[in-house]
Order: sequence, then structure tokens, then C-alpha cells
Amino acid sequence: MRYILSLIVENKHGVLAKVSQVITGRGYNISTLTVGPSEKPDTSRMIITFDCDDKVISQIIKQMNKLIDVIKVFLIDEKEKVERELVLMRVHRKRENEDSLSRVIDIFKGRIVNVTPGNFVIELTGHSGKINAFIENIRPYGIQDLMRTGPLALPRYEIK
Amino acid sequence: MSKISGSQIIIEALKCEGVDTVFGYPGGAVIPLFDALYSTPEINVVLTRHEQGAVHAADGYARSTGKVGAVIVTSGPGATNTVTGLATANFDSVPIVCITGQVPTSMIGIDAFQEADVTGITNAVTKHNYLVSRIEDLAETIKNSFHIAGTGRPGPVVIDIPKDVLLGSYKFNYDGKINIRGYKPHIEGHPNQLKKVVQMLANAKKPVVIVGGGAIISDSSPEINEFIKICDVPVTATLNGLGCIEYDNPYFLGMHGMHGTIAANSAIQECDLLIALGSRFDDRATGKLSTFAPNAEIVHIDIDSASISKNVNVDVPVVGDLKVVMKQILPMLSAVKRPEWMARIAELKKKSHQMTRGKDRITSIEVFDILNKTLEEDTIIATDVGQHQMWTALYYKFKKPRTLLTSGGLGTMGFGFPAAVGAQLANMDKQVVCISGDGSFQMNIQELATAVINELPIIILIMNNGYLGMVRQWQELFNDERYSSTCLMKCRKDPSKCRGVEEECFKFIPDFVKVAEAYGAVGIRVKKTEELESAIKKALELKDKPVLIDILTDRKENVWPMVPAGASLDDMMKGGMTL
Ligand SMILES: Cc1ncc(C[n+]2csc(CCOP(=O)(O)OP(=O)(O)O)c2C)c(N)n1
Ligand SMILES: [Mg+2]
Repeated sequence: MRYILSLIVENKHGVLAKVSQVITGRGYNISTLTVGPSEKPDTSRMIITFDCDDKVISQIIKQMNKLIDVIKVFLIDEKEKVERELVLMRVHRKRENEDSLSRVIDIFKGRIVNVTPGNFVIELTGHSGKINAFIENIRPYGIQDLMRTGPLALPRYEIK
Repeated sequence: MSKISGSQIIIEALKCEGVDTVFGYPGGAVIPLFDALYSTPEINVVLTRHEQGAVHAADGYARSTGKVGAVIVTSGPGATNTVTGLATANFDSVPIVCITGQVPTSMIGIDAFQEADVTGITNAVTKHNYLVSRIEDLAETIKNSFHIAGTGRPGPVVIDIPKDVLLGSYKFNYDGKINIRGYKPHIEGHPNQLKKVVQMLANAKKPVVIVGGGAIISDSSPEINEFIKICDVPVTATLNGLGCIEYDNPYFLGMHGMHGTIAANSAIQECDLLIALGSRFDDRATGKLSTFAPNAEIVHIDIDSASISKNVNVDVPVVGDLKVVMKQILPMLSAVKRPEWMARIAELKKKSHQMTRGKDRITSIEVFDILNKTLEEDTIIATDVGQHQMWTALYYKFKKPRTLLTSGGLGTMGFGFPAAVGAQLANMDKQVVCISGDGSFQMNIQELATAVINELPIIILIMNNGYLGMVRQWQELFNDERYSSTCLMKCRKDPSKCRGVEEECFKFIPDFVKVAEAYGAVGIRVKKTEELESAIKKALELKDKPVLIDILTDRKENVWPMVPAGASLDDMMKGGMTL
């Protein structure tokens, strides 16, 4: 099952190394990891997703809580969250299927953000499931390069 | 406020923390710090002969006193040499602050001479670490480090300090209140959980208590002893829990686990309620998890919530400081008697581990009979790792907390002797005895110099079987007696052709007696049981130098009972035991 773990951490030297060390050192696999500034200058927010069982995720939460530089750890409730991921893809541009490609992009509310004679760069934001579906629909057109950010997520209400 | 140097800030901070002894080894990056120590009479700087020895010595100092041990080493190789020591301390929750020198901040990242990524390397073997890149943060970092090392589940903290920070100058202020927002250990147990525990104890017919290293660390021995008496419940210890309950206490079952006693392992398998106090259910202690304590509900009281339900599924967890939790629960208990269960326990205890005595060479039980007779009850025993360690755990009659120093979690050969050095320096009023093996002792043999120079009257007992005995035992039992790379007397190219010790085999490599003498210690060789007692008595009389007693023990004695790795505690091999 997929779990979305949210961490508030000190914005300090070596924190990312400490977090990933504990996870990999204990043999757990990170699916995605996104780090960035939070609402306060001296803390950062990390969203780490895992595909694991509940026993493993509860161990991970406890181990994260043990880290001195981790200030707060919580699981994001799948039902009470806002989640966004961004994908960028560079796709072959072929005259014969340009129309149908544009239609797919429109349906998903994606955007073409760069055009050259040989290719398009396409962008889409949405929850990870939508991104998955979008990629599958674009794949037949020939994806040259693809990059996903991994999800960002916030609970819809304040977590005390 | 006037400014002082970074080195001086460290010295002032160490003094504020009450540090009286620092174990260390100098080098280019920490010359300014050692220079400041040179004019600090309040701090005894003990120069070990290897940085690993320094960390183990600080570890022995800390385990035997409960205080935070302090280490100072140089950058690069000095720092990397501490890794085994830090990992040992981290595994067994020992508070240490280890200051490592670092190349100047301007040179970090350029592969400077003796540069190493110390925080990167030590992430996995410390409770926490810091790189101090601004002198403004130095005092606060040291204060936080001592706090983190010594509170909650204790552990080692590394402070990596670049040379320019040592040489800089800033004002010293140590009055700030500690406030680490990501670190707030749970101290009190949740009252509702405690009510459940009390109820479970009232309902249980066959309860058993496990005491682990946490019981020693939290100094809860008095409370736990009271607890078991009120509840009429037998108790077993993990390796690092030994000493919490007196060996001769009728409730005490001995150690459980791979080399646990029959009484302890059987009681765990039969019990209907298991209460673990400050123990983390190590696989060496539980055996196969799916058959561990199959009939029991499990209560786990521990300061480290990550230890709960990590290996064993716990029915009632209580997170808190064991001593505080024990003080909370004691007034909630009502006295009970469990005559049937205690009768069963007495029966199990009769199946003790009497070993056959040796004919030619000395056996373990003979050594420990003599030690139990001759050593005072406050003697501090430090061990290395192997058969001699397990025999110490099985046969030595520990009577007090903090009298056993042993590497339980990491199982570090070479721990015992430097730990004995640190413990002796912290406890000059007590006898310190290091029980070692001929293999292990050679892993930190150089600390004989430290012991001699500091006039430490440590007694070193080498149980010399000419083998890496514990590994040899596994080879005998599980690898068709193929003694590959475990004989320390002569390694044949083709071990399968070895017919045992022959004329051409070296007898003493090294000759430990001569090694001791070469360092200025006393060396005694003991070949017969009759000689051992007088050798120990002689050693006890010498007060200003270490005495090494090289005991030639039975070469192929095994440790019994034994639960093979991965097997259930029900499946104890009893080998040569006479029941
Ligand atoms: C640093 C280290 N290396 C290897 C081992 C694996 N090991 C465990 S016990 C043992 C043998 C120890 O031999 P010795 O010190 O002579 O003790 P004995 O078992 O003979 O009493 C070995 C090699 C270890 N525990 N630690
Ligand atoms: Mg040996």
C-alpha cells in the first residue's frame, strides 16, 4: 500500500543524509522523496512516499521520530489531503499524430510548454494517479525523457 | 564579555559538564585543543594507544558510572578509527560525546590531507552528530550534545569541529536553556497503560519478567527488585541486564536466549505473561520469533518507542523512563503469591548448568568457581566477545548493577580491555577484572601501555583455548568440524588435514606472559586449576600495575546450553551438560 509521510525538519546541514540513511540502512525503500522550504525559514518540509505494509510504515515513523533534526512526523490521510505532482515529458513530434496528441493533452488539462521542429515538452500537474494515467496515454507517441517531482501533499485541515 | 578561543570554549564547556577524564589521541587538527588541555588540571587526559581504545575506554567509564564519557581525536584516520567504538556504544545505549578534529572549513570538500566526511560516516553509528562550522554555535552544540547523549535512550554523539573554529575567538556563554524542538524524550508512562499492566498481572498465572540493559542504564534495580517481590514473579536478564537482580535471588533465572539457562528459556516458553523492562528483544535473546513465548501476552516498558513491536508484537506498550514508570506502578500493585508457578520455577532451576570438570586442562566452571569465591561483590567485570563472554554471563555471580561491561549488541571483540581501563580510571576504589579470550585480547592489546602508565591494577584473565573458540564451536556443531581459520596456534593450508595440536604447532603466539612483561605489567601463566586461586590472590595484592593471568583452558570446551541461530528457544542443545 502507498503511504505518504510528511516530515518537518530542521533546515540544517546533513538532515537529508540522516533521514535517508535511517531509511535505507534499515532496508526500507523510498518510492519518492520531495524536499523544499516550508512556511518557516528555519524548517523544511519533506514528503516521502513508501510502498509497504503497515508494520513497516509504523517502524519508519518511529525511526523518523527518533531523529533529533526531525521536528514533526505524520502520515497524510489519503482521504483528507490535497496532493499535487508535476511531470515534464519531452515527446516526439510527428505530423501524422499531432492532432490526436493535442487532444490527449487537452483532456488531461496538460500543457505544451516548449516546441521545436522535432519535439514537444509537455507539463501536467495533478495527483499521482492522474499523472500515471497521463503518462500511459502519452507513451504511444514516443517519450524521449520524463521527469516527475514525486507528490507534494498537505492535509486539508491543520494537524495538531 | 571577553572573548576566548574555540579550544578554550570547549574546555570551559567540558568543565561545566563535570568532565574529569578525557580519553584521546592527538593529531594535526586538534593540536590547539590538546594545547588548551595541557593547562587544564581539572581534566585528566588519558592517552590511549589507539582511537578505538579511547572510545571503548570512555564507554567503560560511562557504563560503570552512568556519566557521559568524553573522547577527543584528530581528523581523518583518528575519526575513522572511532567508528567501531561508536557503533558498540550506540548499540548498547552508552552515553559518549566524541569530539573529532576536522580540516579548516575553507578546506572541507577539497580532499584535504586527513579530511574525512565524519558526519556522513558516523550517521549510522551515533545517536546524533554535528559539524560545527561557526564558532558562535560551539558552546550551545556541546551543551546539546551532552544532553542528547545522556538522556532518553542514551547514545554516542559526535561533534566534528574544523580547526579554524578551534582557533577562532568568541565569548563563552553556557547559561542558555536547552531547547531542542525535535528531541523530547517521553519520561512518564501513560497511566491507562499502567492500569492494564496491573490488571494483567492480577490475572496471570505464570508471569515472567525480562530485564534488559535499560534496567541498568536507568538505575531501576531497587524498584525492579521490589516489583518482583510484590508480584511474586520470576525474572530473567539479557546479557546487558545482568547485575540488576542478584544471582542468588530465588526469583532469578539467569540469562535467557541463545546461551540462556534452561530455567530462563523454559520459563519464557511456558509463561502466560511476559513483561520486558528495558530490553529490545534482540534475536540472540528471542530465538525464532514465531515460537517465542507462544502462550504469553507481552508487556513492553521502554524509553525507546522504536524498540516496541519492532521484533515481537507487543500487547501493551508503555513508553517512558523505566525508573519513573516503576515508581508509578509500584503503589498500584497489590501483593500476590503464586506458589504453583514458583514451585515449577524451582524445579526448572534445579536443571542447572553443571558442567563436567576437566581432566587435563582447566574448564570454564572451574575458573568461575574460583572467581566467585575470591572476588568482592563490587568488582567490575569487563569481557570481550566469545565463549569466555558467555561463560561469564552463565557462571559469574553478578550481584550489583553496573558490574558487567560487555558488548552485547555489536559483539565487539577487543572491547573488554580498553573498557576495563576506562572503568578502572572512574572507579579507583574498586577492583576491575577483564575476562578475555586469546583472540579478542589481541584486538586491543596495545592498551597494556595505557594501563601500565596510569598504574591501573586491572586483572586480565585470558581464557586461552588457542582458538577463536566461539566460531570453532559453530564449526564443530554445524560445519562438520571444519576448523577453517579459527585455530590460533598454527593455521594449516588445508585445515581438514589438521589432526589437532602437534609438536610443530606454535604453543604461544604470542606469549601473553612475555607481552605483559614487555609492557611493564605482571604476567602469570596458569596451567592447572590449583594454580589459579593463588595467582588471582597475588594479583589482588598488587595495587599499582596490571596483572595478566594467561589461563590455559580446555581447547575444545563448548558453551551449553545452546539454541542454534534461528531456532526456537524450545530447541536447546545441551551437549556435555550433566543434568
Ligand atoms: C571484531 C570482531 N571480529 C569477529 C568477530 C566474530 N567472533 C565472535 S566470537 C569470536 C571468537 C573469539 O575468540 P576468543 O577471543 O579467543 O574467545 P573464545 O571464544 O575462544 O572464548 C569471533 C571471531 C567478532 N565478534 N568481533
Ligand atoms: Mg579463544
